[in-house]
Amino acid sequence: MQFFDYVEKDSVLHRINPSLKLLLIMALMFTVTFVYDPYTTFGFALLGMLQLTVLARLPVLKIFKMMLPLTLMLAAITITSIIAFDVSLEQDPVVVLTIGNFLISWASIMFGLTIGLRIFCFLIYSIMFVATTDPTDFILSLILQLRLSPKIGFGTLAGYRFVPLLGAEYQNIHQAHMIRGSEQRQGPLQRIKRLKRYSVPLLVGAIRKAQRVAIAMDSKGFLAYRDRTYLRDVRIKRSDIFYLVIILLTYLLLLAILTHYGITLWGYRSLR
Amino acid sequence: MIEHKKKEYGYTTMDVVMIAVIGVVFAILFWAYNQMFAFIFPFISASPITIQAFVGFWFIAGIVSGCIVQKPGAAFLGEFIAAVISMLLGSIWGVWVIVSGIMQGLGVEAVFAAYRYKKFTYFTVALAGIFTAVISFFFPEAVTEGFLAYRLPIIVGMLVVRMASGALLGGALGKFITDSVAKTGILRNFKVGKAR
Repeated sequence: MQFFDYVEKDSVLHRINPSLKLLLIMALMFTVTFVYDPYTTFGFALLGMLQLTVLARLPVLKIFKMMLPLTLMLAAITITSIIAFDVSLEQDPVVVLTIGNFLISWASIMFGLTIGLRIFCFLIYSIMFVATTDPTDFILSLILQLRLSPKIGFGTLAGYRFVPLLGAEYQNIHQAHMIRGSEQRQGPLQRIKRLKRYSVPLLVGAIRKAQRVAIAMDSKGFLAYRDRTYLRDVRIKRSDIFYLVIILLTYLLLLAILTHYGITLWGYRSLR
Repeated sequence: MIEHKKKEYGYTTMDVVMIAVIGVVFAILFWAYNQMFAFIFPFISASPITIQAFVGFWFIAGIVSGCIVQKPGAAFLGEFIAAVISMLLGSIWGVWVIVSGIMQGLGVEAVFAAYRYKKFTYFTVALAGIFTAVISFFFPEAVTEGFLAYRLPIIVGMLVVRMASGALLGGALGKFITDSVAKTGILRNFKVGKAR
């Protein structure tokens, strides 16, 4: 399920400053969480897909294929939301369906579709970020632009380098369990016990590595001085500001058009 | 006195790398947990209440790093780093996972801070799990998934199951894992390791 990874490429979105890109996407997601109509939500998802194809030049069809298994999840979220929606929030609900005491109204369906599409929209923008951002540049940008402490930033970067190693270790542990025949039992309680069986050896191995790395960092005088230099030049350029302005204007234009036609609804209380 | 305080609360390189690595390990476990989820999710999410039973595990990175390092900010940073790395590894929630991570980290941190980073018993970690379960329910999860528009009995049911999950799958399991790791003796340089 490695459906989104960094795709090494050169595109407009790849060149945008990671922190700026992250904050812009978060701001959009935050805005979308207050939108309660499926049309506006879908509009934002479309703009995301447009950016994926035009600005990031990623193979959208391939991405959709990778997302296919998730449709089941999106459908489940939609149906859950439709059923769980509190019909009494409405003044006079337009009842579509009654199952025993459960009423399902037109607003319930709109609510369910909104939530489903919202998660879809989050997925699109998340893929956009992860696929176009080099992880090292991202953490460096957190240090340089968002003032994350360099100690923590470089610690994280060191930890991030362990991911493939730990992944291999995870496989080892898995195989060791298989050989000893402890993998056969299924069931929820067994799954939780398995979490412990995996996390302890993984943690112990990782902590050993961490201690060696920490000693190495200290002995080389890493971060002993306040003003350090950086190999990679991660900063906010003029083109980043240009992108920010254009994208914000596009989002605002979409909102303005949809609001003009009375399509956009804000807050769940507007569903009546 | 000031010198003493600094020694107690200041971060050594060891602490920082330790927190980062704990974050990374749990990010990998979150990823594995996520994978397990992707298959069973459609079935358990048939009821919004049952899915809450699995939520507690997401708080565990903060609990474990708080319990091991026992310094201000350790729990928050552990959870935050786990969130950042799990986003990079590919989580269904993507970028939003960072927002969840920040809130969950703050939840765990608040309870540990209330005990002045002195008490890490099963009671305090369970409390941390419960508190985190409640605050992360209202933000960001209730906002993102529109829980507040749900029928009231469903909301109450979700919260109760979520709190239990936070206490057990987050707090108690986290404490249990920390103790199991400390038992191996590799935490000799930390307070948890010295205590035994």
